[in-house]
Amino acid sequence: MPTTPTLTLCDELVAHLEASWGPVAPSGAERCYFKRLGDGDDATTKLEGRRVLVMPTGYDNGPETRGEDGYLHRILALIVERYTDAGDPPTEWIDERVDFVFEQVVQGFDFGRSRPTWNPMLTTLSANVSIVDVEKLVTGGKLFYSLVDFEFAELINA
Amino acid sequence: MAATSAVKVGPGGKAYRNTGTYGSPTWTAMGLVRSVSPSMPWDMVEAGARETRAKLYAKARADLKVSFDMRADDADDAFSAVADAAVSPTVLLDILFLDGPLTAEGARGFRAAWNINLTGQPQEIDGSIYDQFEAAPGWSSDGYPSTVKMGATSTPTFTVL
Repeated sequence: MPTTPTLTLCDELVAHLEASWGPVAPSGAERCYFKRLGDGDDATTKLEGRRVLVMPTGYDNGPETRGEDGYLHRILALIVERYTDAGDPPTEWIDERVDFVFEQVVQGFDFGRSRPTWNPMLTTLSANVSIVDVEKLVTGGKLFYSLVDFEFAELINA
Repeated sequence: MAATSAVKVGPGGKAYRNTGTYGSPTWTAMGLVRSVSPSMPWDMVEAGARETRAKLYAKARADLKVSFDMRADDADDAFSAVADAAVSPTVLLDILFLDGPLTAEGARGFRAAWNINLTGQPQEIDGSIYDQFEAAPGWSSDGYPSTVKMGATSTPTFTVL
C-alpha cells in the first residue's frame, strides 16, 4: 500500500468509480503513471474496452490548522476507448462516451457540496474537462480520448 | 536551562482547553484552531509632572482579547464547546493560549475564563467553513486573567494582571 496521500486518494477514486460504474472486463479503471495505448494492431499495447486511467500529477501541502495539514491533490482522469467498427465513429457513439465522462467521472468525483463516506475530509475544488481529442478520434486508431484535470483538497491529521 | 534560540512559527502555537478544574487543570490541545492573535493594549492615563514638558503616561488597565479561527466540525469536542459558549450568555471557557507547546520552556501566553464571541462565519462557495471567534476575559470566582510563561518540566508561571 502506498503511503503518499495523493496515491491513496487515486486508489480510493478508482474503487469509488468501479463501484458506481460496474465495468465488465476488459473495461475497467486503474491507477497508473502512464499507459502505452499503442494501436489496434499491436497486441502488446492493444486497448480493449473502455479504460479509465487515474493518474497523480502533483500535490501541495502545508499547515491548515494547529492539528491538521491541508493537501491540494492534482489528479488526471483519462478516459479512452477505441471505435472498432468501420468508418468514422458516429455522433451517438461519441455522445455516449462524453456522457459517461460527465456522469461517472466529473459528477462521480464531485465532492464539492458533500463529502464521500470513505473520506469525510475530502473536497473537490475543480474539474477541467477536455471533452474529446478529435485528432485521435479521426486518425487510424480511432481513439476516444477525454481528459479531466482535477484538484482536490484534503485535511489530514498532522 | 536557558531557551534555545529558534524561529517561532504560527502553527507551533497552541491553544489548550481546560477539561479539568481551575485549580487542577487538564490541558487539552484544540487541534482545529488556527490564526490565533492575542492582543493586550493598555489604557494609558496621563501622569505628567512639572519637572518635564513631555507628557508622561502610566498604564492603567489592559484590554486583553484573543481572536482565533476554528474549522467547523460537529464531531470535535473543543469546537462544540467553543461554539456552544459563543451562543450562551453566561458560559465561560478556561483556555490557555500559548505561542508554543506546554513542553516548550519559555513559551508565553494568556489564561483566563473567556467569554466567547462569534465574529464571523464565512460560508464561501469555494471553501471550508472556519468560524471566527474572539475571546474576552470574564469575571470568574476561580481566578483573574493571567499572563503565562512556561518553565522547565512544563511548569507554568501564572501572573495575574
